[in-house]
Amino acid sequence: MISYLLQRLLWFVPVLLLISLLAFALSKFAPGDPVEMLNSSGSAPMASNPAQADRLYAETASLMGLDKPTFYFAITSEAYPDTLHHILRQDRRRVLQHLIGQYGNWPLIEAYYNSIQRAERSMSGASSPLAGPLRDLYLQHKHSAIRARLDTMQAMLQRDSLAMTRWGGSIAELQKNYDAVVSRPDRGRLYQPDFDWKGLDNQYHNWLVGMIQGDFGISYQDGRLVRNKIRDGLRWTLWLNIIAVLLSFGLAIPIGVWSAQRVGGRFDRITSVLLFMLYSLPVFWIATLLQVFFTTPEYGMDLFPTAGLSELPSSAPFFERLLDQAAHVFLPVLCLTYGSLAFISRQMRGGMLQVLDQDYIRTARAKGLSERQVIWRHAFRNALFPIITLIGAVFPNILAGSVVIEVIFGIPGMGKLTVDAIFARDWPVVFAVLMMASVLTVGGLLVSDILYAWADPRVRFQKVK
Amino acid sequence: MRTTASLPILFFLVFITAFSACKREPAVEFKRTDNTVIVGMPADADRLNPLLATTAYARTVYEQIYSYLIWQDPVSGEFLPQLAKSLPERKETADGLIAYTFEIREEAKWGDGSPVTAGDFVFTLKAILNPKVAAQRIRPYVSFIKKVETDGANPRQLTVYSEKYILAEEAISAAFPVMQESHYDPDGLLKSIAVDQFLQPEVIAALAESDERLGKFAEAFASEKFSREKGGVTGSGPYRLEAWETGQRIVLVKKENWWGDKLAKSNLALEAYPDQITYKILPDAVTTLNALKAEEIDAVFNIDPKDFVELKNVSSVSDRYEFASPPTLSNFFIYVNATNPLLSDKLVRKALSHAVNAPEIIDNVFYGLGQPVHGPAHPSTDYYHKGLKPVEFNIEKAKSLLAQAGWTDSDNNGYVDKDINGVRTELKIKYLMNASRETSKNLALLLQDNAKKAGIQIELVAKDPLQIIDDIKKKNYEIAGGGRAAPNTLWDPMQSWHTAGDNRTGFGTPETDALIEDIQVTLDEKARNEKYKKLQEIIYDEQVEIYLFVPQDRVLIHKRFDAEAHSVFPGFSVNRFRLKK
Repeated sequence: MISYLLQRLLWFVPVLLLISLLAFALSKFAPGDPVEMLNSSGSAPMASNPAQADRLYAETASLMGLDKPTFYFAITSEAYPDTLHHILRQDRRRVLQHLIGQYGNWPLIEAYYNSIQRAERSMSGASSPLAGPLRDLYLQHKHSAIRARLDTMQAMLQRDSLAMTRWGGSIAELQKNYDAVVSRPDRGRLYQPDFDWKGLDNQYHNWLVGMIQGDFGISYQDGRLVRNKIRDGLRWTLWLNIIAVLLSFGLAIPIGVWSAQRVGGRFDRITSVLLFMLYSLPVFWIATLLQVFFTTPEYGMDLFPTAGLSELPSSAPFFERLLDQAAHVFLPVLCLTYGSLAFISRQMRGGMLQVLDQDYIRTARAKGLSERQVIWRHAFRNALFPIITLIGAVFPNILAGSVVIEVIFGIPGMGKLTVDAIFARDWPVVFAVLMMASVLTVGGLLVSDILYAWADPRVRFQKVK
Repeated sequence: MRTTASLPILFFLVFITAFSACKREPAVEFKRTDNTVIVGMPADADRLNPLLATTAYARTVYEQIYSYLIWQDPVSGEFLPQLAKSLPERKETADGLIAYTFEIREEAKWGDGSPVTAGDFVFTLKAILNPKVAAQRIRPYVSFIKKVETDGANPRQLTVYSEKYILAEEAISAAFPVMQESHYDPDGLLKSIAVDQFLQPEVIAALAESDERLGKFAEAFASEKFSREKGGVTGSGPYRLEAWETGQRIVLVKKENWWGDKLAKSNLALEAYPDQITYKILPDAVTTLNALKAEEIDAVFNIDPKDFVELKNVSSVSDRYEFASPPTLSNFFIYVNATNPLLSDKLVRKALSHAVNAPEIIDNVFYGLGQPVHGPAHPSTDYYHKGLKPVEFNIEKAKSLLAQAGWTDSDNNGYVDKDINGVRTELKIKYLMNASRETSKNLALLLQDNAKKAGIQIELVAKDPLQIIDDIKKKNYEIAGGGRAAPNTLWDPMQSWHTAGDNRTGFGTPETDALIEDIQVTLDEKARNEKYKKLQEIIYDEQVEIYLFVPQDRVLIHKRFDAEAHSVFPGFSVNRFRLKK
């Protein structure tokens, strides 16, 4: 048993690492540039000065740690330079990657990119009709699109002799550099694999090391420590879910056992119908209905507060606050409980029915044991298997919270925190929640394994020799 | 079994009917009579440090805690002195800069009773310009400040020298509040670094790397203490932060003997009547409606248009709340990519514009809560071109414009086509729409339907909003829905309309660029308005953005308060809610 546990614990490490890698990689492919999202919130004037815009971008990227290489190493082809991460802007970097993928000749592509920048600098401070199509080039990688912009600029220069004298040179150079990219491709290099070591100071490493040390980083959205945000969210989610889980298991197990005992009887039939009905009612609907009926005077039953967790200041007496909070959590807990109540009790009933048919139960009855002893001492323990499986899944669920309930009842719990973070591309928060959920999922499965062994001594985890 | 199974259903039905029967006529009696305003807000503030906060929600809260040199009256749009004694004196210097001289009122005091000084303004400016401070959002506002002088003899007087720019005065005095130096920089980390160094971007960038004081300050400045804790967040405004329970509520309490109270009679910028303001976070729309029905909130904004219209018929709500729908400071339009070969012809864009029925969209999708407009300027401004009318919905006109551009239905399939380089091409345009919004889908369907009548085929492409922004930025689109803020003060068209700006439609010629640059430095109102009008005429003629309407906000305010709704987010000024006698 011990060695089995150790083995399982050892397996945690690669599993969690793999999850962290997957999450990290997926975040890099999601649309939306977190730096731009942060910088563009609010309406700032004058960001059209390219030097200033670049500086602002670089400052934000550096504050967010996004100016570092992404990972320890990159397996690419010879065609990709190992300095591409120095180009901070995500959208421009992607365009360069596309260009390399098409032509493979980085030195020429670099010269082309530099000539866009030079041309842009030469136009800063003065009004140039060329600036629009020129800046478009940063975001275009398709030949036809680039060609169209270059042609537009040429046509503009032909029409405007003043522009021709001022910028004709830099546009001609740009044109020449782009022609070189297209006419002298080096696609062979694309097929030569290359391994780039980026060093330990990379985004993934910094995040992973922080995570192991308990430092989850800083939220992009509000600059708070992720640890504190999770602590706040977890407080309410745990509070609600622990009550809900205790209630649903506490009620479901006796209901399941009793209806199995009286299978086909009135109690069994009524509970079956009621529980199936409950199970099939969607929670968002019930939550809204309960809120409409019991929190507004519209139907004469303004019994509970509509949303939130308390109305009293933290200086109010303890019991008053407790009562106030109980009133606030009553409806959310009810919503969290009823669905799982139905499910768990069905599982318990099924497990119990199976066991009650067994020979040893008949033997126990034949020995003259009381019904109570037969059920709770002999049958119950053996009927627990499906419940134990459910317990394994309870841990991550307790943590994850229920977005629907939290949004409807205005509870700032883990579910809402996670969903908001995903929509805002607030990766530090998303990663931290994901890793916690992974640890609890893996841990929960381990706990249920241990409980199996406790419930049924026949369960052994050693290899059969 | 059958009868048993139907029993609970019957029971359930009886239960529901019983509840419906309980519905009773409410007597108009207010649940609460206290002088506390509870505002329902769909999302929490991100932080209350005004230089770091990024959301509009945060701004509506911290505006009650801090004060500005100058404050804009959201109702009249007029600028009024708040911390400043009067509006600034404006002088042009020999080197072409504009000098703005402000004097801070002697009455103005911080939470600890110490006076607000010019030094506090200079400190705020330094904090904004410190590259280690995440104030990127505000930094562009102060980028045209070239020099700041304080007066040795009068610690409350200062002169700010700025480049000539229409928004300079507003940006210097009303874009960020003044923060208390002794509180936010207790160790004086920025004090000994001259403000001139901060005003030179290269110099301060280099200093940020070599001088650790800048980093140290930034770290302390970004701490939770100065962003969300009672006692840590403090300013010279009428309210102080009493409590913030993240995701639930923010409680502000009126300062006793606030310095502005004595002056409030003669200055709207210093009015503050409620004893307490609570911002209650209600992320769900239905919950917000229930909170209104239960009278748990006193003011709410941005209610769903459908609910807003329906609530007017719910007497328990309409008896207790005033409904208001002021126009918001934004507009909805359709981006048209003029760099796309199908849409590069102005006639085609105009035809498309005539095939859009904005009034129908307003009525059917937004329940009548919108005001048609013809261009990017806000209709409440003096420079809005009243001589132009929103493009009328006219299918015949659209067809004739298309015919003029050479598009006809030669194969009788209902859609127009044209020979382009020897190839018969149908006029088929892709419309990018936000997949997650019902209103966006309904709008798209109306668009598609009407365009079809004119012979234009519109294909609807649903995408994630971030992906749409990305496509528009790359000009990898044909037409797409869009929205933008439209100020009720001065409008700088640089960012959206200059070819060197974030120009997404391919609009612009050297002439329009020159006009925009000219607008930026024309300080004379009359001359500037003429130029604004000219620019609007060009934009109108180009139709690279098909304007739909200015959406109206949906605001409810409890009847026990005297209050006025207005266009500035969130639609009311909570500090000016006056309890009715």
